[in-house]
Amino acid sequence: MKDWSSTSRFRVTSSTLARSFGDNVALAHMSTRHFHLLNPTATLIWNSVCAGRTIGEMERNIAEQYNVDPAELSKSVDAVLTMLSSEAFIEIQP
Amino acid sequence: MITIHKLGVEVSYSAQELADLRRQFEKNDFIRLPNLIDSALLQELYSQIEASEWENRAHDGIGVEICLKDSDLVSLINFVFNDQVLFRTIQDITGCENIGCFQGRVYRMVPASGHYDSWHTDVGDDRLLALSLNFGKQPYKGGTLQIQRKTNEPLEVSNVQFGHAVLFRLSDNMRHRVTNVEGDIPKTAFAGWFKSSPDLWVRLAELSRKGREEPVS
Repeated sequence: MKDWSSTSRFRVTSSTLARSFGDNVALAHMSTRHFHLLNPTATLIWNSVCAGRTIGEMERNIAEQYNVDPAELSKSVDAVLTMLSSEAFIEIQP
Repeated sequence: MITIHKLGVEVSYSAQELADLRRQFEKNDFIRLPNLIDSALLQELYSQIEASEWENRAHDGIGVEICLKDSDLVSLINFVFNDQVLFRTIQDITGCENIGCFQGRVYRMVPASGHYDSWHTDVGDDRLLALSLNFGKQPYKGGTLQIQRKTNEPLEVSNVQFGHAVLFRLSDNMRHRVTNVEGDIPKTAFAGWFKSSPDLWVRLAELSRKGREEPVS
Protein backbone atom coordinates (compact mmCIF):
# COMPACT_ATOMS: atom_id res chain seq x y z
CA MET A 1 0.00 0.00 0.00
CA LYS A 2 1.64 3.23 -1.11
CA ASP A 3 1.71 6.04 1.39
CA TRP A 4 2.33 8.99 -0.88
CA SER A 5 0.35 11.45 -2.97
CA SER A 6 1.07 13.68 -5.96
CA THR A 7 2.49 16.33 -3.62
CA SER A 8 4.85 13.92 -1.88
CA ARG A 9 8.56 14.41 -2.36
CA PHE A 10 11.22 11.72 -1.93
CA ARG A 11 14.89 12.02 -1.04
CA VAL A 12 17.87 9.71 -1.42
CA THR A 13 18.77 7.87 1.80
CA SER A 14 22.21 8.24 3.36
CA SER A 15 22.98 4.55 2.73
CA THR A 16 22.58 4.83 -1.03
CA LEU A 17 25.44 4.78 -3.51
CA ALA A 18 24.77 5.81 -7.11
CA ARG A 19 26.85 5.73 -10.26
CA SER A 20 25.92 7.08 -13.70
CA PHE A 21 27.11 5.68 -16.98
CA GLY A 22 25.86 7.60 -19.98
CA ASP A 23 22.10 7.69 -19.53
CA ASN A 24 22.11 4.76 -17.13
CA VAL A 25 22.21 4.68 -13.35
CA ALA A 26 23.32 1.92 -11.00
CA LEU A 27 22.44 1.89 -7.30
CA ALA A 28 23.93 0.07 -4.33
CA HIS A 29 22.84 0.04 -0.71
CA MET A 30 25.58 0.14 1.91
CA SER A 31 23.70 -1.93 4.49
CA THR A 32 21.77 -4.47 2.44
CA ARG A 33 24.52 -4.65 -0.24
CA HIS A 34 21.78 -4.86 -2.85
CA PHE A 35 22.65 -3.58 -6.31
CA HIS A 36 20.24 -2.40 -9.02
CA LEU A 37 20.74 -1.34 -12.59
CA LEU A 38 17.97 1.07 -13.53
CA ASN A 39 16.28 0.92 -16.89
CA PRO A 40 15.65 4.18 -18.81
CA THR A 41 12.22 4.77 -17.22
CA ALA A 42 13.53 4.13 -13.72
CA THR A 43 16.51 6.37 -14.45
CA LEU A 44 14.17 9.24 -15.41
CA ILE A 45 12.28 8.81 -12.15
CA TRP A 46 15.51 8.52 -10.15
CA ASN A 47 16.77 11.76 -11.68
CA SER A 48 13.45 13.44 -10.81
CA VAL A 49 13.80 12.30 -7.20
CA CYS A 50 17.35 13.69 -7.11
CA ALA A 51 16.07 16.96 -8.58
CA GLY A 52 13.65 17.24 -5.64
CA ARG A 53 10.47 17.06 -7.69
CA THR A 54 7.14 16.07 -6.19
CA ILE A 55 5.48 13.02 -7.72
CA GLY A 56 3.06 15.28 -9.57
CA GLU A 57 5.92 17.38 -10.91
CA MET A 58 7.89 14.35 -12.04
CA GLU A 59 4.87 12.90 -13.86
CA ARG A 60 4.22 16.21 -15.61
CA ASN A 61 7.89 16.65 -16.46
CA ILE A 62 8.22 13.16 -17.94
CA ALA A 63 4.89 13.45 -19.80
CA GLU A 64 6.08 16.72 -21.38
CA GLN A 65 9.31 15.14 -22.59
CA TYR A 66 7.86 11.86 -23.82
CA ASN A 67 4.58 11.09 -25.48
CA VAL A 68 3.26 8.65 -22.91
CA ASP A 69 -0.17 7.73 -21.68
CA PRO A 70 -0.67 9.50 -18.31
CA ALA A 71 -2.28 6.46 -16.69
CA GLU A 72 0.52 4.15 -17.82
CA LEU A 73 3.10 6.71 -16.71
CA SER A 74 1.50 6.97 -13.28
CA LYS A 75 1.63 3.18 -12.93
CA SER A 76 5.30 3.13 -13.92
CA VAL A 77 6.16 5.93 -11.51
CA ASP A 78 4.38 4.11 -8.68
CA ALA A 79 6.14 0.83 -9.50
CA VAL A 80 9.58 2.41 -9.59
CA LEU A 81 9.04 4.46 -6.43
CA THR A 82 7.74 1.36 -4.67
CA MET A 83 10.85 -0.58 -5.62
CA LEU A 84 13.24 2.27 -4.73
CA SER A 85 11.60 2.88 -1.36
CA SER A 86 11.25 -0.82 -0.48
CA GLU A 87 14.96 -1.22 -1.15
CA ALA A 88 15.62 1.87 1.03
CA PHE A 89 17.30 3.80 -1.76
CA ILE A 90 14.80 6.63 -1.23
CA GLU A 91 12.47 7.80 1.52
CA ILE A 92 9.57 10.24 1.71
CA GLN A 93 10.63 13.68 2.82
CA PRO A 94 8.82 14.52 6.04
CA MET B 1 41.22 17.29 -5.57
CA ILE B 2 39.31 14.25 -6.73
CA THR B 3 36.67 13.26 -4.19
CA ILE B 4 34.63 10.08 -4.41
CA HIS B 5 31.19 10.67 -2.90
CA LYS B 6 28.25 8.36 -2.37
CA LEU B 7 26.36 9.77 -5.35
CA GLY B 8 29.25 10.51 -7.70
CA VAL B 9 32.74 11.90 -8.08
CA GLU B 10 33.72 15.55 -7.79
CA VAL B 11 36.84 16.98 -9.41
CA SER B 12 37.93 20.35 -8.07
CA TYR B 13 41.39 20.62 -9.63
CA SER B 14 42.04 23.77 -11.62
CA ALA B 15 43.36 23.47 -15.17
CA GLN B 16 46.80 24.41 -13.84
CA GLU B 17 46.68 21.75 -11.13
CA LEU B 18 45.67 19.12 -13.66
CA ALA B 19 48.57 20.17 -15.88
CA ASP B 20 50.93 19.85 -12.89
CA LEU B 21 49.58 16.36 -12.16
CA ARG B 22 50.12 15.36 -15.81
CA ARG B 23 53.74 16.54 -15.59
CA GLN B 24 54.26 14.72 -12.27
CA PHE B 25 52.86 11.49 -13.66
CA GLU B 26 54.91 11.76 -16.83
CA LYS B 27 58.08 12.37 -14.84
CA ASN B 28 57.64 10.06 -11.84
CA ASP B 29 55.23 7.38 -13.13
CA PHE B 30 53.00 7.97 -10.11
CA ILE B 31 50.90 10.66 -8.44
CA ARG B 32 49.34 10.99 -5.03
CA LEU B 33 45.59 11.44 -4.66
CA PRO B 34 45.00 12.74 -1.12
CA ASN B 35 41.65 12.23 0.61
CA LEU B 36 40.31 10.38 -2.41
CA ILE B 37 37.10 9.29 -0.65
CA ASP B 38 34.92 11.77 1.24
CA SER B 39 35.25 11.40 4.99
CA ALA B 40 31.74 10.09 5.74
CA LEU B 41 31.92 7.38 3.07
CA LEU B 42 35.49 6.50 4.04
CA GLN B 43 34.50 6.09 7.70
CA GLU B 44 31.50 3.88 6.81
CA LEU B 45 33.61 1.63 4.59
CA TYR B 46 36.35 1.51 7.23
CA SER B 47 33.85 0.41 9.90
CA GLN B 48 32.55 -2.35 7.65
CA ILE B 49 36.08 -3.50 6.80
CA GLU B 50 37.09 -3.60 10.47
CA ALA B 51 34.03 -5.73 11.28
CA SER B 52 34.84 -8.25 8.54
CA GLU B 53 36.78 -11.48 8.41
CA TRP B 54 39.94 -12.12 6.42
CA GLU B 55 41.30 -15.09 4.54
CA ASN B 56 44.79 -16.05 3.41
CA ARG B 57 45.64 -15.41 -0.20
CA ALA B 58 48.79 -16.42 -2.03
CA HIS B 59 49.59 -14.78 -5.36
CA ASP B 60 51.47 -17.41 -7.27
CA GLY B 61 55.18 -16.67 -7.04
CA ILE B 62 54.57 -13.06 -6.05
CA GLY B 63 53.39 -12.78 -2.47
CA VAL B 64 51.24 -13.75 0.47
CA GLU B 65 48.66 -11.55 2.25
CA ILE B 66 45.23 -11.76 3.80
CA CYS B 67 42.23 -10.46 1.87
CA LEU B 68 38.78 -9.34 2.91
CA LYS B 69 36.53 -12.40 2.92
CA ASP B 70 33.25 -10.50 2.51
CA SER B 71 32.82 -10.44 -1.27
CA ASP B 72 29.70 -8.25 -1.02
CA LEU B 73 31.68 -5.58 0.79
CA VAL B 74 34.47 -5.81 -1.77
CA SER B 75 31.82 -5.39 -4.49
CA LEU B 76 30.49 -2.32 -2.68
CA ILE B 77 33.95 -0.73 -2.55
CA ASN B 78 34.53 -1.59 -6.19
CA PHE B 79 31.17 -0.01 -6.99
CA VAL B 80 32.22 3.42 -5.69
CA PHE B 81 35.42 3.33 -7.77
CA ASN B 82 33.57 2.50 -11.00
CA ASP B 83 32.65 6.02 -12.01
CA GLN B 84 32.85 7.65 -15.42
CA VAL B 85 33.93 11.06 -14.05
CA LEU B 86 36.78 9.38 -12.16
CA PHE B 87 37.76 7.44 -15.28
CA ARG B 88 37.78 10.57 -17.51
CA THR B 89 39.89 12.48 -15.00
CA ILE B 90 42.41 9.65 -14.62
CA GLN B 91 42.63 9.36 -18.42
CA ASP B 92 43.19 13.10 -18.65
CA ILE B 93 46.01 13.03 -16.08
CA THR B 94 47.78 9.90 -17.27
CA GLY B 95 47.07 9.92 -20.99
CA CYS B 96 46.09 6.26 -20.84
CA GLU B 97 43.61 4.70 -23.26
CA ASN B 98 39.90 4.51 -22.44
CA ILE B 99 39.30 3.09 -18.99
CA GLY B 100 36.52 0.52 -18.96
CA CYS B 101 36.38 -0.35 -15.28
CA PHE B 102 38.16 -0.56 -11.96
CA GLN B 103 38.76 -3.88 -10.22
CA GLY B 104 40.30 -4.12 -6.78
CA ARG B 105 40.65 -6.08 -3.56
CA VAL B 106 41.13 -5.15 0.08
CA TYR B 107 44.31 -6.70 1.45
CA ARG B 108 46.20 -6.63 4.71
CA MET B 109 49.87 -7.30 5.39
CA VAL B 110 50.42 -8.22 9.02
CA PRO B 111 53.93 -7.84 10.44
CA ALA B 112 55.79 -11.06 11.28
CA SER B 113 53.09 -13.23 9.69
CA GLY B 114 54.92 -14.33 6.57
CA HIS B 115 53.17 -11.73 4.45
CA TYR B 116 55.34 -10.39 1.64
CA ASP B 117 55.32 -9.05 -1.90
CA SER B 118 57.85 -9.51 -4.71
CA TRP B 119 58.75 -7.53 -7.79
CA HIS B 120 56.05 -7.85 -10.46
CA THR B 121 54.60 -5.81 -13.33
CA ASP B 122 50.83 -6.52 -13.12
CA VAL B 123 50.81 -6.15 -16.91
CA GLY B 124 48.12 -8.16 -18.72
CA ASP B 125 44.41 -8.80 -18.30
CA ASP B 126 43.65 -5.35 -19.85
CA ARG B 127 45.25 -3.51 -16.91
CA LEU B 128 46.24 0.09 -17.59
CA LEU B 129 47.10 1.66 -14.24
CA ALA B 130 47.28 0.62 -10.60
CA LEU B 131 45.86 2.38 -7.57
CA SER B 132 46.34 1.73 -3.87
CA LEU B 133 44.29 3.47 -1.18
CA ASN B 134 45.30 3.25 2.48
CA PHE B 135 42.43 1.97 4.64
CA GLY B 136 44.37 1.97 7.93
CA LYS B 137 43.95 4.70 10.53
CA GLN B 138 47.21 4.02 12.35
CA PRO B 139 50.44 4.70 10.46
CA TYR B 140 52.32 1.47 9.77
CA LYS B 141 56.05 0.97 9.34
CA GLY B 142 57.48 -0.47 6.12
CA GLY B 143 54.86 -1.53 3.59
CA THR B 144 56.36 0.98 1.19
CA LEU B 145 55.50 0.83 -2.50
CA GLN B 146 58.64 0.60 -4.60
CA ILE B 147 58.45 1.35 -8.31
CA GLN B 148 61.35 0.59 -10.59
CA ARG B 149 61.70 1.57 -14.24
CA LYS B 150 64.15 -0.75 -16.06
CA THR B 151 67.36 -0.77 -14.01
CA ASN B 152 66.89 2.65 -12.43
CA GLU B 153 67.04 3.07 -8.68
CA PRO B 154 63.58 2.17 -7.29
CA LEU B 155 61.32 5.04 -6.24
CA GLU B 156 60.03 4.70 -2.69
CA VAL B 157 56.39 5.77 -2.25
CA SER B 158 55.06 5.61 1.29
CA ASN B 159 51.35 6.16 1.80
CA VAL B 160 50.38 5.93 5.45
CA GLN B 161 47.64 8.58 5.62
CA PHE B 162 44.12 7.25 6.05
CA GLY B 163 42.16 7.62 2.81
CA HIS B 164 45.10 8.77 0.69
CA ALA B 165 45.84 6.96 -2.57
CA VAL B 166 48.71 6.44 -4.97
CA LEU B 167 48.10 6.01 -8.69
CA PHE B 168 50.95 4.50 -10.70
CA ARG B 169 51.80 3.40 -14.20
CA LEU B 170 51.90 -0.22 -15.36
CA SER B 171 54.29 -1.12 -18.13
CA ASP B 172 56.48 -3.96 -19.34
CA ASN B 173 59.43 -1.70 -18.49
CA MET B 174 58.35 -1.17 -14.91
CA ARG B 175 57.96 -3.37 -11.90
CA HIS B 176 56.78 -2.72 -8.39
CA ARG B 177 56.47 -4.35 -4.99
CA VAL B 178 55.44 -3.54 -1.43
CA THR B 179 58.15 -3.95 1.20
CA ASN B 180 57.53 -6.00 4.33
CA VAL B 181 55.47 -4.35 7.05
CA GLU B 182 57.34 -3.96 10.33
CA GLY B 183 56.44 -3.10 13.90
CA ASP B 184 52.99 -3.83 15.32
CA ILE B 185 50.56 -2.11 12.96
CA PRO B 186 49.32 -3.98 9.86
CA LYS B 187 48.92 -2.32 6.48
CA THR B 188 45.37 -2.37 5.09
CA ALA B 189 44.77 -1.14 1.56
CA PHE B 190 42.29 -1.26 -1.28
CA ALA B 191 44.37 -1.94 -4.35
CA GLY B 192 43.52 -2.70 -7.93
CA TRP B 193 43.66 -1.70 -11.52
CA PHE B 194 41.98 0.59 -13.97
CA LYS B 195 41.33 -1.71 -16.93
CA SER B 196 40.41 -1.18 -20.56
CA SER B 197 37.69 -3.83 -20.36
CA PRO B 198 35.09 -4.88 -19.47
CA ASP B 199 33.28 -1.57 -19.78
CA LEU B 200 31.66 0.11 -16.83
CA TRP B 201 28.12 -1.07 -17.39
CA VAL B 202 29.22 -4.68 -17.76
CA ARG B 203 31.31 -4.31 -14.62
CA LEU B 204 28.40 -2.79 -12.69
CA ALA B 205 26.22 -5.67 -13.85
CA GLU B 206 28.88 -8.09 -12.60
CA LEU B 207 28.84 -6.33 -9.26
CA SER B 208 25.09 -6.67 -9.04
CA ARG B 209 23.81 -9.65 -7.19
CA LYS B 210 22.62 -12.60 -9.20
CA GLY B 211 18.90 -12.26 -9.68
CA ARG B 212 19.01 -8.51 -9.11
CA GLU B 213 20.71 -7.46 -12.28
CA GLU B 214 17.58 -7.35 -14.39
CA PRO B 215 16.52 -3.75 -15.00
CA VAL B 216 13.46 -2.74 -13.02
CA SER B 217 10.32 -2.23 -15.03
